[in-house]
Amino acid sequence: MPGLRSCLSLLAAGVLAGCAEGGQGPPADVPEPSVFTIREAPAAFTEVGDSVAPAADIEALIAPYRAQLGEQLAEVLGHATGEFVKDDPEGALDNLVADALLHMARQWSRDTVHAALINEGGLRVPVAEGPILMRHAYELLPFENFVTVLSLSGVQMERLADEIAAAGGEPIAGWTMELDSVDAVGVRVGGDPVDPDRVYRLATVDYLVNGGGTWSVLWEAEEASREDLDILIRDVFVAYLQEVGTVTPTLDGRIRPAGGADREDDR
Amino acid sequence: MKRREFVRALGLGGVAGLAGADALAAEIARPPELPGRDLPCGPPIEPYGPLVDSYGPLIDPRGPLVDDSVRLVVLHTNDTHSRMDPFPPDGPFAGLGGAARRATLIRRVREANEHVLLLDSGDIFQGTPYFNFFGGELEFRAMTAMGYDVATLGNHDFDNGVEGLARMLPEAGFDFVSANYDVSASSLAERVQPWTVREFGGVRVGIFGLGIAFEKLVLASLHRGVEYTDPFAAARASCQELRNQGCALVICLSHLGYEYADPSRPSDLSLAEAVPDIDLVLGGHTHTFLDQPDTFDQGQTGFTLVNQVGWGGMRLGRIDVTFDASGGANNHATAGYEIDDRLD
Repeated sequence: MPGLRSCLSLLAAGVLAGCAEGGQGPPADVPEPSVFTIREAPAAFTEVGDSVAPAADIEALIAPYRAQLGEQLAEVLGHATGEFVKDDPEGALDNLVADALLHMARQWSRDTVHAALINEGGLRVPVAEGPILMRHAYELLPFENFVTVLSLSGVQMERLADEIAAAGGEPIAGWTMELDSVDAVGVRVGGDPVDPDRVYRLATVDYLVNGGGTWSVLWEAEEASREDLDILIRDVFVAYLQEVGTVTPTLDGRIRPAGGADREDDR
Repeated sequence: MKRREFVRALGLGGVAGLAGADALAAEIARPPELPGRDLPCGPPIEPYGPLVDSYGPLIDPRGPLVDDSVRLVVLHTNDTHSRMDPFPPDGPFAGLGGAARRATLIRRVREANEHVLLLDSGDIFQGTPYFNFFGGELEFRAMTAMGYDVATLGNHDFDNGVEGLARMLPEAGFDFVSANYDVSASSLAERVQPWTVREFGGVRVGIFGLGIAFEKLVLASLHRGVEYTDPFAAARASCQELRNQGCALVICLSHLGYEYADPSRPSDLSLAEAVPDIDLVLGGHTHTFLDQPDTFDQGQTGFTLVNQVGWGGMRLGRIDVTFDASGGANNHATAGYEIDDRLD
C-alpha cells in the first residue's frame, strides 16, 4: 500500500520542519498524547445519485408523508383552457398571477387597492392546459412571499413604471403603461392617467419591498404606509383559482411597447 | 493557544482521473482492512519515502511505531432545502439527491470509520412541499435517523418564524450552534448554543456556527427575539474559547455564503481571511458547488479549508482529518523514539 505509507512519510517530513529543537535526546517514555496537531485533511465529495441504494428505514420514514403530500398536491384548484407562459412585455402567465394578486388583495386589504405588481422572476414554471392542481401552485410559486400593500404617490408610481420598463415589462394588474426605449409612458391607473398628487395603493410581495428584486421605489416605502397581509402569494393564487374556476390565457395590452403594434413588429 | 504546525490539504478534484464520488464509493466498496489506502496524498512520491530523523512524530516508513494518530471523518451537507426525495426525472438535477440514499452513504462511512462527525450548515427548511405542509418535522426526523451531530441555522430555517422552528426542535436529535445569533431572548435559547465540543479518540473538536444578516432576507416578524451580531467577532471569540478548551480542530458551520461582489459583506472567504484560527469553514447559503475546498495558508496558524457542497442533498462532503498526538511546549512534537528492533 505505497499510497498511504508514502503519504505519511511526506507529511512526517513536513511536521519535522516545524520542530527546530533537537539534541535533547529522546525521552524515555512516550508522553501521554494530550495535544494533537492536524497532519492532513484530504477532502472529497460524493454525488448522491442512483448508484446509492436508499436506506429502507429512511424510506419508511418518508413514505407516509409522501403519501399524504401526494393526496394534498393532487387537489384540483381550477382549469386552464390553454397554456399560460410568461413573456415580455406581457405574458398570459404574468397577467394571471397579477390579476389573482389584485383580486385577492382587494378582498383582504382594509382599504382600496388600485394596482398590483409582482416580479416575473418569481413565476417559476408555466401553467399547462388542463386541470390546475395544488402541485402546480407550488411549482409556479414555491417561495414563501407574503402579500404587502404599499401606499405610493403618483410620482412614485411613475418612477416605478420606469423601473418596470427598464426590466422590459413585468406582471401588472389594475394599471397600464407603454414602454418607450427606457421609460414608461402613458401610465394609467384604473383607466385614468396617473395623478402625481394622489396616493395609490399597490399590492405586491414583501420580498420586493424588503430589499429583494431591483425596484428601488418599493424599498422607499415607509413602514407606516405598508399593510402586510398575512397571506402567501401562492395562497392568493390558490384562492383565486378556487373562486374563478376556469381561467383562459389572455393578453390585453396592459403593458405594451409605445406606438402599439407597429413598434412591436419592428422588434 | 495551541497551534497546528502542519496541515496537508488536498481536494480530490486535483488528483488526475479521480472524481470524488468514485473515490468515496470505491472506499465504501472496498473491504475495511485497508482504510484510506487511496486517500489523496499529493503528488506521486517515492514509495516509502525518506526515513525521518529520530526526533519528531513517531512514524516509521513500515508502519507506526506508536499508534498515535486519530483519523476523524467529517461529513457535511448544506442547504438541503427539504429535498427528501431525489430531484424529479424531468427537471434540472434529475435523479440526484434523496435523503434515504444519503443515509446509506453516511452509514457505510460510519461502518468503515471509527470517528465520524456529521454536520449541516443550515437551510434545512424550505424548497419542497414537505416543508410547506409539515413544517420541517420530516427533515429533522430524517436527519436524526441519519445521525447528524451538529447543524447551524440558515435564513430559511426561520421561514415559519422563531416559533415555527422552536416547535420542530423536539424532532431534532442533534445540536444547533450559532455564535453570532443572539437567541437569549427567544424560545431557541435552550437549544441553540454558540459552540459545542466533541471528543474523538482523545482529540477535542470544537464546532461553532455563524448565521447570515437577517436584513432583506428574514422578515423582522420571523426572527423576533433573535438578533444578528458581527460574525467575525463571534468567530474570534469562539476560536479563543474552543482553543482554550483544548480543541485541536475548530470547525465553523457557516451560513454566511461563499463569496460576494461586495467585499464588505461577510462571507466564508472573508471569514477565512479575517479569522485565520479556524481550521474548517463548512459553508452554505450561496448553494456553491466546490469540487474541492479552497485552501488558505494562514502561516503560523496552519491552514484553513473552506468547503461547500451545493444544495438539495445532491452531494455529501467529506474531509478526513488525521491528527498526530504530540506533547510538550509550543506544541512541538517532542516525543522521540528509540532505535530498537521495532525498526528491523
